[in-house]
Amino acid sequence: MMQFSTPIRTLALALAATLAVSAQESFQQVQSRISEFTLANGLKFIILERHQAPVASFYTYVDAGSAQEKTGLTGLAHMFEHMAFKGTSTIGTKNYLEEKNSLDRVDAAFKSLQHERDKGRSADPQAIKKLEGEFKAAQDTAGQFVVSNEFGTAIEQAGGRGLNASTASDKTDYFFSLPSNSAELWFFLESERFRDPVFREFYKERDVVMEERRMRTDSNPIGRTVEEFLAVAYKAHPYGQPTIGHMSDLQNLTRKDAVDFFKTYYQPSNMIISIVGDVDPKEMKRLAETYFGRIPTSPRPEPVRTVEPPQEFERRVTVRLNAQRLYILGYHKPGTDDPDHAVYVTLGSILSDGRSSRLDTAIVQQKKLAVNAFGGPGFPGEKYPNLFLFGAFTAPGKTNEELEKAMLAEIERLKTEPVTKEELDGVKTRFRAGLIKQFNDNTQMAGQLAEWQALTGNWKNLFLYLQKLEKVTPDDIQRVAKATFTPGNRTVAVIEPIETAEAK
Amino acid sequence: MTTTRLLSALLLTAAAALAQNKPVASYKDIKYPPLRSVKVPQPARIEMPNGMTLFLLEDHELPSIGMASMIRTGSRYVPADKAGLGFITGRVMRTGGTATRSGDELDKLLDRLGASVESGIETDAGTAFVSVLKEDVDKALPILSDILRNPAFPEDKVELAKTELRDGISRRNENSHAILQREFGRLIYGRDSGYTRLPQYDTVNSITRGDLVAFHKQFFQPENVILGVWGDFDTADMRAKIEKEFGSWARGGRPKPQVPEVDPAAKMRAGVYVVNKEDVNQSEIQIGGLGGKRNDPDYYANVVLATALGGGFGSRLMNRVRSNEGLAYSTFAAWGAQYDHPGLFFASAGTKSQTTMKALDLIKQELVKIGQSELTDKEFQLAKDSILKGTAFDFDSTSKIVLRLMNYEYSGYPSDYLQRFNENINKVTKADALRVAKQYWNPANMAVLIVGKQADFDQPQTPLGPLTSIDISIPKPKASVVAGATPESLASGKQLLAKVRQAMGGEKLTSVKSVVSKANLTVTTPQGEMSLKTETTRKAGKSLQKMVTPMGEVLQGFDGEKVWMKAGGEVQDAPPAGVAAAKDEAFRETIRLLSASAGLTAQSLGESKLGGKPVEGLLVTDPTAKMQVKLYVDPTTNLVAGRVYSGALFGPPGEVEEVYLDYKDVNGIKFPSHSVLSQNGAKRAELKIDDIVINSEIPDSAFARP
Repeated sequence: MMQFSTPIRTLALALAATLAVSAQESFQQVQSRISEFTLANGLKFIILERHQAPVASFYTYVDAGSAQEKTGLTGLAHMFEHMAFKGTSTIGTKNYLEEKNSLDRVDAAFKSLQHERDKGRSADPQAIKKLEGEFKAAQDTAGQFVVSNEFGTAIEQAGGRGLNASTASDKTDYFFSLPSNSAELWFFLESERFRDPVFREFYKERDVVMEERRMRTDSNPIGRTVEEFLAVAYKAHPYGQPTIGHMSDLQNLTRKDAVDFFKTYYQPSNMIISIVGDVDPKEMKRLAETYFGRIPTSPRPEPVRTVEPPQEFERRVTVRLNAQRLYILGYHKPGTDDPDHAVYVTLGSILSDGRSSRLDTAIVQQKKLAVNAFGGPGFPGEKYPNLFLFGAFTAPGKTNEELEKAMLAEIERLKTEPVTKEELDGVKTRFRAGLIKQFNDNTQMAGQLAEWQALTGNWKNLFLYLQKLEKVTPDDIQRVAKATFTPGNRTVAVIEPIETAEAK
Repeated sequence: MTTTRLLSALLLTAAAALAQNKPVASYKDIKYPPLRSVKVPQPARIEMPNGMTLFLLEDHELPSIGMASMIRTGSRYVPADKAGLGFITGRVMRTGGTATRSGDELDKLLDRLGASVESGIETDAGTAFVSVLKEDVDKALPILSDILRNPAFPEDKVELAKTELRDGISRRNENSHAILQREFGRLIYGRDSGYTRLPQYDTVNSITRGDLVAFHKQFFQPENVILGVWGDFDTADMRAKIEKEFGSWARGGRPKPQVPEVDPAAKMRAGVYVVNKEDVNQSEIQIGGLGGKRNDPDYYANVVLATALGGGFGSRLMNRVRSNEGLAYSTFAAWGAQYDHPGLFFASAGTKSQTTMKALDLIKQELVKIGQSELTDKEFQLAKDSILKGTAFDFDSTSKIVLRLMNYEYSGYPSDYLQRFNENINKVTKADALRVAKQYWNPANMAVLIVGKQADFDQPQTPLGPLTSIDISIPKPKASVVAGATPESLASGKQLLAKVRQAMGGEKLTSVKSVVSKANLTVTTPQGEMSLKTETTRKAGKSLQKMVTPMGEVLQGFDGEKVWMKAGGEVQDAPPAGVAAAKDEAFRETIRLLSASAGLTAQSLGESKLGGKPVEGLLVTDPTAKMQVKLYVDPTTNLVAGRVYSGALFGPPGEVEEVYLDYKDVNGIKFPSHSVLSQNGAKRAELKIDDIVINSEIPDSAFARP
């Protein structure tokens, strides 16, 4: 192909060059402030210094999520996450020795109750009532030793902000921020809770988690639809299980289940810690050795070996609710280690980043079939083969059938028409700009560093990813679209409004 | 070894001794070094000759620039019959582009730069945000200026924003928490306050491009604009750039908009209210009232009290409702305060339907307790520490610093407000906290709102008085006024209506006092067809319908005011939406409609097709009751060939089409006796009447709720 040089083109090139240089400089500048070390027990630390304000964010990534759960134990990873706020043998108790025995009695009382309930129809209602009474009494006794929420309170007392944790298919993470002079408080509390956790108030917290399920899933049309969608999209791999857990599993989880999960997955070599803010890396290393060095080393847990078989036939679920229409479409694709990872990311960005993206332009603005439309890889997780997910809120008065037709037409276009250079350039610029924006937020940056380390084996890949995006060609896009977006590989879930009480 | 080296070696040993590599036994033993003091950067505040106020703050850490603008406007200034105008104006300022660059061009340019420029109108302010790499600031700044000054508001983007808003209306009752937040505000501020007014289909439909132009013109003048910029620039340079882009914007001279007062009655809304939502298994509960402003004398004590009551892990609600009882995932309390008008304060929890009243009772107990005696020393100190020790976070980004000063400027607060806030929190005593607990947090004076499935509540009674239902059904759009209602179309409509009356029974129509009809109803459902026997009795707008279903006999009555339903021995009242639907149905009942003489207008809609046959359209309106129905007339017989109206047939409301296939002559009156009903082009039901009896003696009591 012939290339011309026009004044406008030269100008554009010059502008692109300045942009690339200053962004690249800032990447190098930020990278030069990142250091890392690994303790003898295998626990890795990544530290990014930012001295603008005397604060720091602390982030613990545990390479275990709901994908690690076995049948009958769904919700366990998340349940443990809740237990990680319940304290230790010295935090949250008035007398641990006595408390310990009382906790064993609570477990025993629950087991007896469970045993009677397991009889199903032949269970004795009188016996159940009695056992329920004993279970409650045992919990009340154990409760007398508890100093409620001492763990969280200690952080609030120090002026901590953003104390929280989250559980997903791939990971469980724990984070908060502190004034930087209180860093040692984080080292103490975080190492204690993963060295010497006490699973107190387990059965009450189970009730709390059931409330969380009611809030996020049962009483939420989108939550319900996503649960149905995943259950249909996966038939073998645990990505199809709800992270929050099935209600009957939650009702039967025991303290021992949570202890076992903790012992298997909360190993130093299976965790990554990142700290971003006004800290001295040498001091962080000293404190890390002092506090986290106490945790013994253990082998890394076994990986998930179930592989989702290729999907050959379309799957569909219609969720009838008292709610407006929603359309979800997913295609199976490979996991993080796939050489085409950047191609999928590019596809997602071209489809739905910004108002000039393909889906917004075609489906929302031109055809007016939805009020919002998106598509992108990485659902429900990234680590294992996952879904390229499309979704849209169907516009009032439009049907899901019309919307699907338009969505599939946009997907076909990816296979038949090459994407433009302008579209590819936009993806790279937005990635650079997005990265720079993240540098400005300690907590976000801490999360990014740990996640890239966990998923790709090296946090530096975050900064090298731009090079991968540079290599994506229009041919790659067509090749991957053709291989992935096939009719047999398709799973669809829709909300269709039910007949309301107003009907005559 | 020189003295210096010896000294430094000694110092190192001392430092190592200080920094012992030994874990503390308890976090209480940790010795914290003093917090490093940092120089808080101060933005430059500049007033431009045209009245715009600027805050500029350099931050060279990253090669990017952020901007925010606050404009003195807000949806609180939108008139009631145009609710939604604020949202649409704010949205289309950006999506619609300007006089010289279209919205689509802006979309493309900004996406290519990895930049964003967004505008919006919130309840109490207009806003605009810019995020851009520093190289592109000369592209982004003119866009910001242009959309604030010269928005084009093209019709297609106005329509797109209206669709988005209509979609939002249709989905607004799907999430309990969103319902709780919205309805609690409406409960306290009042349903027709500028702070809580909801867009409805009718208000959105009535908004025109002209309304956007006028609303924009009223508020967007430079003296109403505050612009903050932070990031990698030189202040003098940035000031020059802003002056170049905004300097030519002349003052508008319109006075600064006055902050609308909150209805004084908002302070006294005690009572227990419920929104019944059938499809959830968790109740959202909130108890609270009208709070205050951020500079009220009682603000600080209320913040401390709310923190101790429900502000975090160490709070009373968290310990009792969540950790000790396992009744809720989410439970908290907050003293909501706004800068320029009173906010809302509340305590809340989400719990399963079966423990709704138990959880409400626990919250009530905690409120009573916190008003009876002072906070413990520990609680009091925890509340203060958690607020004051995190002050460093108020300065951890330049955007936070600039946005805070912009808010103070917007609301007339002093620029050192934050420092005063911290001092005032420090001054709060336990006695102050108890005083405000008694004054504001007495549950007997607070409003309770529950959103949940009422039938599954643990008790029908509340611990705080009787339950009052709140109707949140979404008002259907009034039938659209058909374009071209001219004197001619009204005159020819009147003529056609007269012909139809004649054909359907003439004077005899008025002799009909009551009608009893027996019919066979076939309903088309996704699972297949289902047939039912029905008997309908109508008299003077009242109705009684008897249906024999596979589940037994179902009765539905309308006594002119209330709709009730009896099934399986249980009687239930229909929600207000059901009453409105029954009134609509009574209005359009064909024979009764034709017999009514006065008060109706008829507009000719010209020729069209119904059920594949040519017909004449007629829009019949009752202007006082605001009800409408479209009648379609067979041009050869002048009989009513069918009707179209907005209603619901086993699904969301929409246009219902009813085609008459046959009639029964009773005493010279042509009763439609066979009809097919469809919605969105799909057949939904078929009705065949076997038997009609008119003017039998029907007592009014036949329609009364059993």
